[in-house]
Amino acid sequence: MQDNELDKLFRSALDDLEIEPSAKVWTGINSQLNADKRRRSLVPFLSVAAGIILLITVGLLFMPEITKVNQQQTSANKVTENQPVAKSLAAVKASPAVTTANSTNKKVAAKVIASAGSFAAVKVNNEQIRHKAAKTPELKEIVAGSNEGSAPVLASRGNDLINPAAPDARNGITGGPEVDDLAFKGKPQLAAAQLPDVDKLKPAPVKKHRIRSLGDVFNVVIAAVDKREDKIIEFSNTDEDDATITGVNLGIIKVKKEK
Amino acid sequence: MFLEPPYTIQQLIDRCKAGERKAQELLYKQFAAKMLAVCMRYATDRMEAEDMLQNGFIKVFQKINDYRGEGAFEGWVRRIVVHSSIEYYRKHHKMLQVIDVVEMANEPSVNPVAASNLDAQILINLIQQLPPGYRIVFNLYALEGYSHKEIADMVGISEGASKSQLSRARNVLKEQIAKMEGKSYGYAG
Repeated sequence: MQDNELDKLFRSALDDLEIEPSAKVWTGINSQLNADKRRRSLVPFLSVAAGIILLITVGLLFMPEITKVNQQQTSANKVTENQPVAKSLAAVKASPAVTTANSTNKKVAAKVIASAGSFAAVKVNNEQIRHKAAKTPELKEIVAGSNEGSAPVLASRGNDLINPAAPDARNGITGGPEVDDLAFKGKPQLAAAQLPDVDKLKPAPVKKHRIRSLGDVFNVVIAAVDKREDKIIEFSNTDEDDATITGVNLGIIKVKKEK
Repeated sequence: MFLEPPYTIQQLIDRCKAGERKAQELLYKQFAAKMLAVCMRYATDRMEAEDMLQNGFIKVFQKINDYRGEGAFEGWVRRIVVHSSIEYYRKHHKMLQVIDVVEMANEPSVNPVAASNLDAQILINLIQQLPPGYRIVFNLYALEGYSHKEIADMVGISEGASKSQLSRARNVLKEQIAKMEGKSYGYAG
């Protein structure tokens, strides 16, 4: 049988075929059309209601929100003020040990602490130290290496009664564990001191406003009044017809759709 | 045939555009039987076909304002019904991609008859037993007259896939028909 013969067979047999559907098909269509009609008549009512609710919420929440924002800003400033203290604290903690160490190691240790995290400085220190263990430029090991001289002293300061005679740095095998310990302890402190600086260096996120949809119009208007990062209400900025709410921030209640 | 004498199709269409439920019902009754026959070819059984018909007519009434009187109204309804049948498969089966292994579950449960005597119900059964991908392509190409390019766009497959599914569908159908003919001769002989 040829392809077109086959097609013709089916077409001629089925083209004018009629099969009476059961009554439930129309019932289904009817109820779906009714649902559509109800939804359509609700839309204008709902949009007006939503508008009124939005106005009331904005009106009620704006004044308290503005004062809250100010409070948040001042507390943020306080936090940044605290960081230098933490930094100097770490330095102070290390310095008593440094003073008792010999002069060359003192220099090195002071440098490492002052420039902790900075790679270039670490390299310089590496050259100055020239210890067998301190050849890799990794911060942790540098701290360990540079403290090799001062750490036993630190240990001796802690264990004065047990080990009164502080051993020489290079021969002090017993000082090893303590040295490691110190390096681990020192690292988070130094890291903590560095972090805020990194944050400050980051440029503030710049939002581009290009109005393409109704949602964008709302977002721009809201952004003009609400300066927080999460606005009181955020709309989707896709090109779709209807503006969908993607985020709500009522101070205590925050809802945000992930992008 | 269900049309009450005072109304023409055009009058019914106009009243449907105004959202008049009685007119919608009359229009539905005018085309329902013909459109169910179309849906039967896309479905695996009658229940599925009636679901497709229902979805199709809901779309017809939702979109009736788009009908500008270009071309026959029946053709317009039929296109919407066909599209919503394909849509139904997209939603419920998700298997329109090429299926390489043809597994006919059983032989068609029809009485052995000669090809010339094959009545519509038997042919519909044969189509319904095709894998969905084959069935849709065969329907669209052989019975609706769409091109492979159009089918590719409608179904969301490549043109090549459309061609290969069509030829496989034809082979399966020929095989089944040959089997039935053989049996019928056997009985006759």
